[in-house]
Amino acid sequence: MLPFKRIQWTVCTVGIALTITACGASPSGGSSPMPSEPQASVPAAKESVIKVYYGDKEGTNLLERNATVRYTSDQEKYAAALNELKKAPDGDVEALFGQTDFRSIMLKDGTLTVDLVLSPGNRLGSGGEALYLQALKNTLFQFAEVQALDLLVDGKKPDSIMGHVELPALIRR
Amino acid sequence: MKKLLCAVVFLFACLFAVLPIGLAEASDSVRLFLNDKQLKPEVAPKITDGTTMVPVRIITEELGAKVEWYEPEFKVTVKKDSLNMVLYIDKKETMVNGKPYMLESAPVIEKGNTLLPVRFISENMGLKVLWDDLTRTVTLLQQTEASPSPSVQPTPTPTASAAPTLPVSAAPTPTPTASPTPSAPVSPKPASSSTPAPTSSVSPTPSSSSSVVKPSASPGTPQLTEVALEGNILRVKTGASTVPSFLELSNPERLVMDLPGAVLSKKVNGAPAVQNGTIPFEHPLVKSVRYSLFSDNPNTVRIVVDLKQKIEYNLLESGKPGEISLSLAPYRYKLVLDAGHGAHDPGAISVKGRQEKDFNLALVLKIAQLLEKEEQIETILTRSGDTFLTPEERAVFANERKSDLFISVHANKYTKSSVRGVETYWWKSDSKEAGAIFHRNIVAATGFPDRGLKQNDFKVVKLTEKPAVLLEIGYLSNAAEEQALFTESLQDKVAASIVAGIKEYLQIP
Repeated sequence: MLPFKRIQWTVCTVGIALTITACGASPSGGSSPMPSEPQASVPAAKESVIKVYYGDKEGTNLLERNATVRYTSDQEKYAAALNELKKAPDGDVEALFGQTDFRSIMLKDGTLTVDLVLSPGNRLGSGGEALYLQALKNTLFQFAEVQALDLLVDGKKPDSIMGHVELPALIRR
Repeated sequence: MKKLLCAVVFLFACLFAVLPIGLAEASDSVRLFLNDKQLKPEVAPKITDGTTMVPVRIITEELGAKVEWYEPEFKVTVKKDSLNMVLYIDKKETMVNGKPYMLESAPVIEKGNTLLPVRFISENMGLKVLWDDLTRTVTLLQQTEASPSPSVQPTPTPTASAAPTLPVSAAPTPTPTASPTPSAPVSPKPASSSTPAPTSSVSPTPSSSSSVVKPSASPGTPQLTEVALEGNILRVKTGASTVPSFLELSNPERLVMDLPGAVLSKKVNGAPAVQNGTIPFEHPLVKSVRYSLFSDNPNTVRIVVDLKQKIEYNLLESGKPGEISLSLAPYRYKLVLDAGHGAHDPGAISVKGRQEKDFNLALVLKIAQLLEKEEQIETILTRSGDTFLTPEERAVFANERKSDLFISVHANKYTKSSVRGVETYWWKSDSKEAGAIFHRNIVAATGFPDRGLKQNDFKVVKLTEKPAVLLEIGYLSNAAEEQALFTESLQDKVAASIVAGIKEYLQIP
């Protein structure tokens, strides 16, 4: 797939001409500047191979798998990575997030806030909860810009996700 | 001198054997006494690798030595009479009168203060150095060889002193006639020529000995005269009232009682009082009672009851003033049983849709019921119904009740239904032993596979101050285990195995 041109509009002070910057990664395709009316930017999709973490068949360790994700923004990259946690790519690993939904993923000042919804069926035992949290940390901390995780459940900060493992205010890498 | 040094080195070695093993609650601070006078240097004495280090001022001002500093070599010399010690900052090598010795800990400079090993220096000056682990006190005693005990000293006139004794070690309680201060110190040690430290004898007032011995008991001052055991009642007689404070210590079990404002009487239990006296007892709970003048500013007598087992005590309303009565009884262990999850937190949902919180509570109630007949165990439940506490609240609950053992009961779940077995978790090293006992018992009682005794920092086992374990009895995601876990018969077996584990761990017959 040909990546779309990514045009970023930088609006400066009034009187200064709008500057159009082509995204560094995108090939210059003869972008025609739109001088007067900023249109909705069409970002280019990126494709990356990321690491995703799953439980082993015994429920004692995490296993690492590679996944190819496409995204147009960092936000989408995190969402894509979290989405990979929900499904096991092969029979040797167990998806620990099968009944977890992620919403409002947001990075601000190095802190990634993830609000998740856990269906009762996804409540694991103590060891399973430890793996669950570790898989989430490993998967998200592979992105260098993510310095800390702020995990919420149903929009709130619980003491623990499943009742065994301490959930600190911020999980630092 | 050589002989003295040998003795000193021997003493040094002996005393090191009893140097701090460290009380859990003790800070790094060390109290320092010269005879009965507490020394309070600007920089607190500290213990480094078992050696008490004190600022140089103590050595110069209190022990009267001359200390010189040679910057280029980082060398310190300590001179007193014919004694000449050379020490180096950050080096263990030292010289005493030209002979090399090794220190246990090197002198250091900290925040601009030179800290020197007080024991080594004091002992080379002929002082005796005592360490009291309980109070973390170093006492430097000016020694008097073959010194007659002050109480038997026949001559009451200050000028006629036979020996310039400082009677603190023998009898801290003053007798006006018994502690003459020499008007001119006579060296009692021909060999070492070490003289009594000048601090006590710098101003020998011929008519008074008050500078030497204190505290003097004024009328109304509580004085420890007797410690007695009548059955399980411990009586401490002080004559005047004092409000005791208590501290319980373990390993070995001790009860510490401080008597503020009190001093030692001349005689305790009919025998002359000594600093750090011991009274042995023949008693099922008490081995002996030790006493000492713990502080002279303010006056405080410390009594340490050495126990044969962990006890509970109660301060009794004593009819007589100036008498403290304690009832002693064998300790009742406090056990906190924690049924995991509850209320809006169902825990794991089983293959048949049953909830972990219900299993946890059922098992906990069975354990509690079995423990009802154990007199030495007081069982406390974090929840006895379908209520919720956060993991942190459960640990705080146990800590506030000073639980001796915390057991959190859970059932397990994994995404794969074939996974099954027993897991037992501990976190703090003090909990592993208990974890091993429960794990072994539960594996045997259930017949489930052994998934291992594991260490993990789950909040309830991490925040609890005393030993704590988290038991994952079996898997609710496994059909066979789920079915068994919800039967009365298996729950009864597991409950009995846990009770057996509790008694084994607490060593209750």
